[in-house]
Order: sequence, then structure tokens, then C-alpha cells
Amino acid sequence: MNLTRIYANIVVNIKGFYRNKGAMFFVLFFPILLILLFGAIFSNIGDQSYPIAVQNKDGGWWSQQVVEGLNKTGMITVTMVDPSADPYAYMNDTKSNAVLIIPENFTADINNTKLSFQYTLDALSKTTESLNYTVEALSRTTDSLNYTLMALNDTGNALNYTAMALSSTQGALNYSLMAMNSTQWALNYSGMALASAPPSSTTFIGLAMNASAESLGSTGMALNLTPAALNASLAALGGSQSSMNATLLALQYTQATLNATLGALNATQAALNFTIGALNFAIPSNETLKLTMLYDSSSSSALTKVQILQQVMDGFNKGLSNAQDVMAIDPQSVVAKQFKFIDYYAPGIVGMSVMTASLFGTVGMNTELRQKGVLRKLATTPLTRAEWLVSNILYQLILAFISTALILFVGYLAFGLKPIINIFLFVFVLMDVFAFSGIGMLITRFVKDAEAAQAAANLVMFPVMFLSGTFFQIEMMPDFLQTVANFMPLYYVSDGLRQAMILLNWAMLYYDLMVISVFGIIMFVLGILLTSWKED
Amino acid sequence: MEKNVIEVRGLVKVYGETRAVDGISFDVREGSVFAFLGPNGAGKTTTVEIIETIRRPTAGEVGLLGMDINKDRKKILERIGVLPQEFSSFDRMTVRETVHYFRQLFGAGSDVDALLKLVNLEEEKDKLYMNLSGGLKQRVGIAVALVNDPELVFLDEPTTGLDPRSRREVWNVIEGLKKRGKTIFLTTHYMEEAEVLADHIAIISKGKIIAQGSPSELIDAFGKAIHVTIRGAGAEIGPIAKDMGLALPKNGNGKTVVDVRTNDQVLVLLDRLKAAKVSYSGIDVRKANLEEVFLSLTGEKLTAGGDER
Repeated sequence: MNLTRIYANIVVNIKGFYRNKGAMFFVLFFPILLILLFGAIFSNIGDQSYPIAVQNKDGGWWSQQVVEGLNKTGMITVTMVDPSADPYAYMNDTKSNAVLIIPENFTADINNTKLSFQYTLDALSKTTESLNYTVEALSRTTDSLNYTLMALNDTGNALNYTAMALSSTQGALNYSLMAMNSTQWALNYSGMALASAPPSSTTFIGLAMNASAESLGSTGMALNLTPAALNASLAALGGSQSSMNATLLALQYTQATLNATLGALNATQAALNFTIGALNFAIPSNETLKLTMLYDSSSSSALTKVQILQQVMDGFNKGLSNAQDVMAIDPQSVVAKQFKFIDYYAPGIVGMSVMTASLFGTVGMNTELRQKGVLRKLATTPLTRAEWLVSNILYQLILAFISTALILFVGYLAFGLKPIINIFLFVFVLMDVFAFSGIGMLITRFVKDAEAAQAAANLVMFPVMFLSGTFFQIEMMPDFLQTVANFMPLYYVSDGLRQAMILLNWAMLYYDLMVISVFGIIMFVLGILLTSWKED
Repeated sequence: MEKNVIEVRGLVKVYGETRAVDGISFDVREGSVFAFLGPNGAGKTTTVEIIETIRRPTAGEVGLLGMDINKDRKKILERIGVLPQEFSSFDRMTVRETVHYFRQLFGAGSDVDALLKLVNLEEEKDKLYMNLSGGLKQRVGIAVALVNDPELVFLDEPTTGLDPRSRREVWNVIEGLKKRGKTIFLTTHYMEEAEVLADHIAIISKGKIIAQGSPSELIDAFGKAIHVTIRGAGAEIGPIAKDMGLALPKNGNGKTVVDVRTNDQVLVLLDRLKAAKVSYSGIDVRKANLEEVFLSLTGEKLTAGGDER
């Protein structure tokens, strides 16, 4: 690889380019025209003002507020029309496409409406107060019921214990009775035995009487325990009684709170009735005050004016009714900075300009030099094909970077364009050059005639240009065309440049970079391999 | 003894079923002007481009400056200069810039201004190539072919499409090169050009060399007649020619043309005219030219033929 030959070739190309006014125009100045054109078209988006005529037949305070409100939007410039004029004739005479007519008594009607709104607001306030009391009463009722439930639980437990105590007492008494009976029988038999028994048996009788005496002892013990059991039962019954008293008290409280709740609900009903009455008073006829808008439906700007007016009216309605926004959009830009529309278009123009310069530059150079026999002459010099291709690609890169810098500089001067300059900008431009120079080389490999090759390049350029989101956002296209756009190399260049210069979405940027790099390198390598200046 | 700088043996180039070059062989001697003469489509440019290493031969051998064109391409290119057929250059480069550019590609060679002087382009050196006349463009091409001070210069149809004056200017440049000892390989379909410039001519037709030699050798070998044109004479010439055993004279435009075969017959004819007291206003004697040689060899006119491949 001889650098002198490469340098000589680049110098030849640059001199030829510099002296070719047509090429200079299309490569450098046409993109500038494009950015100026796009900038001029889109720079007013967001701050343009629509003229609108207003005929104020009311003249009162509220009608003046409407006119002032329209002016304050910044989107409308108001021209006043004589209240006695015929608005249709005015539209014809002045070629206006929209006239807003504020009717007579507009201010008076609004004042009435506003007063009734105030009453409605008061009634709603009282209703709210009543509902608050009702809620409080219901809360108290719930508490009371909870306490009652707890008292009832306690009473149940006391009764259960009482039953158990009584049952134990009865058992003790039964056993005592049975013991005493047995004792009596034992004593009886003992008497009988003593009366009839020989002296030898007195010993046994004595034993039986001892046993009886023991039995009587046990019975005595049982009888001693019985009063304690009865006392316990009595205590249990006392507990049950106090529990039942507490339950009764709780039930009384519950009744009282239920009565209070009923009272609160009655008050709420009354408040609601009052509110309905107030609302009926507020909108006596169920009709909205109407401002007449005359507009030319064939004019898109007139339709825009209607939309703006509707938004202004929404604002007035909210203000009059003291309504607060329940929900609203909080616009938060995800881009790195606050950018204007031209910032979004500029990367697309850069991508497209580099594409056309590389594609047509390569096709033009190859076919022209081939047809003129310069390639055949170069083939008889020590200049190698690799040196020639490298010098050409360097030349295309120089043009691409000059073109890019000019586009961005003019965009900055004319429209305050604020792109972020980083390494990815250069990489995407490089891949743009690789991809479309490669395609250019492939075209000239198979289409030898200069005009046919230019036509083939156009065949490549137009679909790529229009389907890659340079001029139209691809979201606006039908689904199948959006699918097609995914196969357009320029789409990845333009999107990648946007990510690099504006959006800084790194994931998307790397994806775009990967796709265009693979495509660009494949095209470039194929172009180099297939380009030949030696004849077969 | 002069050596051969080009040696071609059995060269064949086939395109599909067409044999553009059909087994030709020839030598070019060092320091000579070799003219490859033939009509358009005869195979001249194909042959010369194979020798220049731009095309690959189908068969045959080509030795160039003692090297093989298939193996020593780089070395060959450094020692030859080429003016391709219908040469053109970068439109928006000046004459000097163009010559300088090609000079840079070789890295070493002739001085650019000396070259411009050699081809008489000093006054036009700052003109853009696109604004030059055809003759000046061809002279730029010749200058470009000489930037590396080549031993062997190929000029492929250097005067095609030029007016007579421009053609003469190019001839002057070629003669200047010849005087400087350059070997020149000239392809042309202008027989006059070959006749004026060439030391050795090879006539090619339909891919084959049908004759070669010096111009005089070819004319002597293949020219059929010496033309004696007698202006202002009457019908009395016819019997004289008949008496000498010559073909019937051709009359037209006040001229009578008698074809004789030898120089002696020219003298005999003049004596007979004098003896018969034939009155005339002038006599021209012209040998056969290469056009007639070609016609006699092929039965076709030299300027006829299709497009060159």
C-alpha cells in the first residue's frame, strides 16, 4: 500500500470535486438547502399563531375575559369584528376562515350560572358535613355492639361455671345421704347384733361399729365441704347477674347510638334533598351557554382554530365551576435535552446526504472513469486496486464529514440546532459511507453503462430514502411498510444518529450500530472483492 | 545486434465462441516503431491489451522486455508506457496536474515540465483537460504514457477521430519519441500512419496476422501495380497499353490511369507516349499503398469492419 499514490488519488478526487459545481451543489449545498427548508417549515411548530375574528355582541366583563383568554393562549391572534356586522359577509370580505360570535347577555347569563353554582357548592358542603357525622355515629354503634358481644360472652362463661358448681354440690349431697343411710343400717345391724350375739362375737360387732363411726366421720367431712360448694355456686350466680346487668347496659347504649345514626341519616337525606334542589336551581334549563363559531370546514387551519377554541372553553368551564383537575398529563421529555423539531430531522438529513453522496459518488466515479477509459489507463500504472479503493473511500469519508459538519453548523446558526457530538456520530457516518459505497461498487460491477448505473442507483436510493424515516416517521406508514423499513439500511443510520446526537438511548444505539455495521462491512467487502478494472 | 523487446507466440484470446485473437506470433525489435495494422474488430486492441497485462490470454506466450506477462506484471508496468484506445482523463484537472498525477503513481520518472515541452503542451499546461481539443488530449495521453520514462510505449490508435492537422501533430510527437530511441508499439487502422511512422508492420485481420514486414517489403510483396496517371491525354493511350500487354486504362475526370507492374514498364510507357506524340498536361507515378496491399490480401477495404473488442 503506497501512501503517495493514495494521497495523489485523493487530491485528484478533491480537485475534481471542487471544480465541479454541480457535484458541489448536490453534495454540500443541497443538504444545506434541505436543512434550511425543513428548519423553516418546522421551526414554528409549537409557537405559531392563528388569526381569528371575534364578534363581541355582549361587551360585558365575561365576554372581555373570553377575548383576553384567547389572546393569552399565544396560539391565536384576535381581530375584533363590529358587533353589528354580518359575520358571513365579514368572512367573505376578509377571506377569514373562522369567526367566533359572543352572544348578547353572555355576561349576565354567566353571572346567574355562577351564583347558582355557589349555592350548589354550599349545599354540597353541608351534605359532606352531615355524612361525616353519620360516619362517626356508625363508628360508635360498631364499638357498642362489640362491647355487648364481649359482655354476652362473659355471661355465658359465668353461667357455665355456676352449673358446674351446682352439679358438684348435688353430687356431694347425694354421697352424704348414701353414707348416712349406710351408717344408719350399720348401726341398726349393730344393735341387732349386740342384742343377739354371743360374747365371742362382740369383738366383730365392735369392729362394725368402728367402721360405722368412720363412715359417719366421712359423711361429716362431706357435709362440711357442702357449704363451701354452695358458696362458690352463689358467687357464680352473683357473677352471672352482674354480667347480665352489663349486657343490659351495653344494649341500652347500642339502642342510643342506633337512634343517633338514624338521626344522622335523616339529616343526610335532608342535606341531599337540599343539594338536589340547589342543582336544579343551578341548571334550570339543562342548557349550556353557546358561543357561535363560524368556520370554513375545508380549511385545516380553521379546524385547528376550532380545536384551540374548544380547549379555551374547557379552561373557562373549569374555572367557573372551581373544579380541580383529577388527572393531568405531566410531560416529561425522555431525551437528553429539550430539543426542537429540527433537532429530530437533522440526523435524518445527515444520513440521507451521506448516503446519496457515497452511492452516487461511487457509481458516478466508477462508471465515468470506466467509460472514459481512465480505469483502463490506471490499470497500466503501479496503482493497485486496493490503493484505488482505499483512496476513494477516504475521499468519500472526507466529503461525508464535510457535508455533516456543514449541515450541523448551518442548523446551529439558523435554528439553534443542539446535537451532541460524540464518537458514535463519526462511526455511523463511517458505516453509512461503507454501506452505500459498497452498494455503489456492486451496482457498477454489474451495470457498466453510466446512465443505467445512475438509474439503478436511483432505484436503490428512492425507496431507501422514503422508507427509512428521513422525511416521514415510519410510525405513520402502514404496517407492511413499517416491516419493509426494518430492512432499509438508512433506517438504522438515521435512527442511530438520532440516538447518538439527541436521544442517547444506548440500547437502541448499540442495536442500530450492530445492524448497520454488519450490513456496511458486508457490502463494502463484497464491493471491494467484486470491483475489477482489469478486463477478463 | 538489436534485441526483441516483445516476443509473442501462438497468442489466442477467445470470447465465447469468437476467437478474437487466433494464434498470432510476432516480434518487436528494440528502438523500432512496430505498427499493428488492421480494421476495427480485427483483434488489435485485444492483442495489445494482453501484452499490456490488462487482459488475460486464453493461450499462448508473451515475453515483454525479457519478462513473462503472467508473472512479472508489476515490473513490466514500471517499464512500459501506455496510451489506451480512446484515452481520456479527469475532466477537471489541468494538463500539468494530470501529468503530475500519473507521474506520482509511478514514483519516479520524467520531469513533468520536460514532458510537456516534449509533447508541445507548455502553453496549455494550465488548461483543464475537458477544455482541450482532441489532438491536445491525445498529446496529454502521450505525455502521460511517458511519465515513467518507459522503454516501450504502446500507442493504441493514437490518432483515431482526429482532424488531419491534429493527426500530423501527434505524428510529430511519435517521430520525436522514435528519435529518442523509444520502442513504440502502434496500433492503427490508418495505413498512411503506419506507412509514415512504422519500421515494421503486422497486418491483422479476423484475429490472424496475414502479413508482416517493412512498409516497402509489404508493398513490394503484395502491391499489384504501379499507377501511372496521365492528365489531359486522349483515347490514344488505350492502344499503347494494349500493345504493351497491360490492362485497359481507366478514364475519368480528365485522367487516364495505366497500371504497370515494374519500374521498367513505367519507363517503356513514357517512351511510347513520347514516340506517339501523345499530348498531356501532366504525369504522376505512384506505387501501390498498404490499402491496396490489404485489399489484395483480404479482399476487403482496410477501413471496413465492425467494432473493436
